[in-house]
Amino acid sequence: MTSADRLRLWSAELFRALLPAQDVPGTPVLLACDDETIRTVAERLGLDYPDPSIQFGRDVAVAFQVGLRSGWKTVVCGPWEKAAPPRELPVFFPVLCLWVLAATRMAPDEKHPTMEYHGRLCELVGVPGDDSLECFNFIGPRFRDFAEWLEQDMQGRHGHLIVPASPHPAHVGFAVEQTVFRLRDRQVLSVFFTERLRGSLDGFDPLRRLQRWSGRGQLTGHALRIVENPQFEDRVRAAIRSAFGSWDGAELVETSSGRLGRVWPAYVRLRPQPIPRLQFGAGNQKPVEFTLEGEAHELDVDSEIELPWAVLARLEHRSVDLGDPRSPSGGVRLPRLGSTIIFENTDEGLLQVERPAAEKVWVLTHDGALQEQLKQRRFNDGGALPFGWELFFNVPVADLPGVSRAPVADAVQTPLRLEGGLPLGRPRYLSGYPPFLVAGDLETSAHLPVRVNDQQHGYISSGGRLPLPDTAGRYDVEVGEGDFRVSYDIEERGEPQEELLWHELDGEHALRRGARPAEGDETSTRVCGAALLPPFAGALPFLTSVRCNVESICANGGLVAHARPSTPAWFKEVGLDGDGRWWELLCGEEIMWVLMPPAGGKPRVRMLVDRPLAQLEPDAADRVRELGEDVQFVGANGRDADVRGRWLELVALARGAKGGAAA
Amino acid sequence: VNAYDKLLEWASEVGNGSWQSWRDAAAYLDVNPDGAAQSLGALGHVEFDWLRNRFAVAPSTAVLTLHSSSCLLLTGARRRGVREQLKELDATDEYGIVLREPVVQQEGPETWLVQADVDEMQRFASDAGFGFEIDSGRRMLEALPPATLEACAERERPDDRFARMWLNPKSRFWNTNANPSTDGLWWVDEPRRDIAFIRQEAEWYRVTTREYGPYLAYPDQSFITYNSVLGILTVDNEAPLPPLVARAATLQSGRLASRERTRHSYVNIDEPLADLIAEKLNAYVRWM
Repeated sequence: MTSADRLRLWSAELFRALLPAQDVPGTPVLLACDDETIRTVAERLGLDYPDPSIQFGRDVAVAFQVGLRSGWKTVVCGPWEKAAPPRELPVFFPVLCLWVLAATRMAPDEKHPTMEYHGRLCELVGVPGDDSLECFNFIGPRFRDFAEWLEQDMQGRHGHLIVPASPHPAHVGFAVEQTVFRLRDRQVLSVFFTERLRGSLDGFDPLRRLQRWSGRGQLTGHALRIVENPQFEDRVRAAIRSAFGSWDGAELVETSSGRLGRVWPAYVRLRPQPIPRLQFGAGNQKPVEFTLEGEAHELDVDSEIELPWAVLARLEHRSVDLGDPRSPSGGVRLPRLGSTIIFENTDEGLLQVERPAAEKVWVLTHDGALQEQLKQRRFNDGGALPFGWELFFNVPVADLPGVSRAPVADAVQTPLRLEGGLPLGRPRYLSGYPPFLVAGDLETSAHLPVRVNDQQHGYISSGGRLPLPDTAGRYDVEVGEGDFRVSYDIEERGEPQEELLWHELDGEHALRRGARPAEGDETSTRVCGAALLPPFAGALPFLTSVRCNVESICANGGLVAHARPSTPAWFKEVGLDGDGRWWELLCGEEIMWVLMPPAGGKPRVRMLVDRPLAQLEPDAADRVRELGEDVQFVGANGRDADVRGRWLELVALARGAKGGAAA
Repeated sequence: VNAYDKLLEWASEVGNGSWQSWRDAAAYLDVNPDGAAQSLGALGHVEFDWLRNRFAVAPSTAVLTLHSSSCLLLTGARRRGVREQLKELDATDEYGIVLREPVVQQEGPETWLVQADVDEMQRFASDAGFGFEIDSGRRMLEALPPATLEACAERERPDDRFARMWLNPKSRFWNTNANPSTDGLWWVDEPRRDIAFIRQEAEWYRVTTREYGPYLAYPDQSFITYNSVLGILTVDNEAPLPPLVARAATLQSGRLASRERTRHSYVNIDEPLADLIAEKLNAYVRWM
């Protein structure tokens, strides 16, 4: 791959990383390209160089023929301006990135004074000396060209580039003012991101969060002045967003050589059975090599290794770094665990946490008093634990001195968020069931005003929970001075998508499958809720409300006695215990006649099916003869003569059947 | 109207969603998501796909069950305003129906019953937008294959990232400190829900529908008692009925099993149904 090929890749990926599409067109942005950005982009491109920034500088130099004599001539005399809009990403874009990269390196080091810009730029492009190269004075026009391209050709979708009108120093200032954070600041920001922005920036004003963060004092004086100056708010917001965009989750640390290295914060897992053991892993993106307890290890990507019990003593008072932070893969930092370690059951298993959100946790401790207090819940470790340590299961957090439950799990702790409500697909909620505005640690004792649709709605402070409007409509919520913004809708009804889940009851896996979306044979036996396929094909049961025992004559000529059941106790619970209780006559055959004892007069009969019977069983024939012709017909519905005719046929059949012969 | 009614109304308005959204909605309404899933599943309102971690509301269905005084049990989806629509239908006097007052229950949504003439049932159900079923609880139980280890479980070891505990069949206590090589039923404490594993002669089996676990692991133990006089089926809390069996029992009345300290009881279970439950679970049922 040639330098020109590589530069095309650098250019496209840097644009994606530094100037992603904005939610709101025209959002002020900076071209905050620094060593971290270049390293992240190189990783994404699969370019494996010991110093990606130097390689990037060399690629720019070769592609644009940058040299002592030619200087930046090629950069400023290209044909770009003549192309018809919408023009492609300007070819000089990576040069702008390089110019800014050099500015971010303006920090004390052994080669250059802090304010030296050109020496650092020359170093990046591989040109000796520390003088300004030819045509560098075109830096201003090129930044303005690029800003114009973003605004006109890209219609502001990737933001509005902040370009100073009269920078200081005259030319270098164009690059310097794209930077807020220097290399040292990136280290501090990585801690800020780890501690405060693990989730996302959605809805938050990153500047307000940084201004409230107690660790901001670690920033360089240059950055701190800018962060605290209201004039530069847009610039700082853009710079934080840019730095966050290229943050890979590692914490930047200063190494003994004075350069920055990276460590991946490790998580610690407890595997309790069959015998307890600890493991750790990290978010490292390349295998990390290190030595632990005298043994060489390699922590692969997305893998874990066992944490020897002997390390517990070291982790009681301080964190432990493993591997070489200066290596391309970085190192791993095991957290300080203290003398009592809490493990919370999460989707990923039992993981060590500082503040659990669950009610019950596992506890590993060598605190004698706590061991005595929790002895009822001691886990049988089979002698696996080191001397003095004991493991306890299902310990209520309330029983742990000095430990309070977090309102939400560690992974989603944010200072402000919408929580709860009955969502119809976020951010829509069912009317009557709105979300709450919930505050975690706001890092201020102030009560922040909350406005809904530009109207004062209430105040919220750390740990607070504010109900939001619940009637149909759209609501825009703003907290403080734009610290947090969020919108949601309330609707009266949903638009449910039908996605039936069926239990397939055919086949050998019927009892293993559970409910799934329907698949395969449509004639299969399946259940969804109370619906069953194939549909019921039998006859409806006959229900009667008579208050006595009855008999029935069925289609096969049999006589079946039906005892009226007593009122079950649960009828009272559901209010069915009053008069007019109905009950079923079940006999496995179609019921033709119902025979009832007299109710103060003649015996009663009811015809259910208007069809002659071919035969009668002896006991049925006996009963019909016994009743004879003089009966009362019920439920005839004006067809008394027809019903009487059928009954007389039946009596005749019964009499004929006396000798055992069927009519 | 209690929190379960609200949860059902929401599920009906949203149609389907992830288990996480179910969990969040249940938490918002201050009900246990697992308990709510169990209740609404047993009543035939909602189905759960545990493989994809999703729920979906079931179609609105009117079920005629036996020994319930000609009542249709209205189950499945209950969208907002459906009660008012039923009242309007009732008020037309075009159907021989009695729309009974909703009956609250402690750990589930209201029981909605409609007393109807057999000849009118189907027309009413159709006009009200409900499917019509006859005794579908019993029919689904008849269609269910009998439980065996082969039918219910697959060979798989428990994930040792999660703690587990063993059910002592004699004391009926769960024991976290049990010898890890003990045969029997193990409950693995996965965060979404506990998973049942059976250890048998040093082999592990994952019971995909966990409620079958106790019946398969300890077939000689009786977890169920049947009172044929009262028509009440009582089940030990350690061995709740598998979802479809529980649904078959619950649809007999529309009432969730009533809970006591160590067991729960289903009402309106006739003898043939109790026999069928014993047969399908391959369970030892004590008759009273």
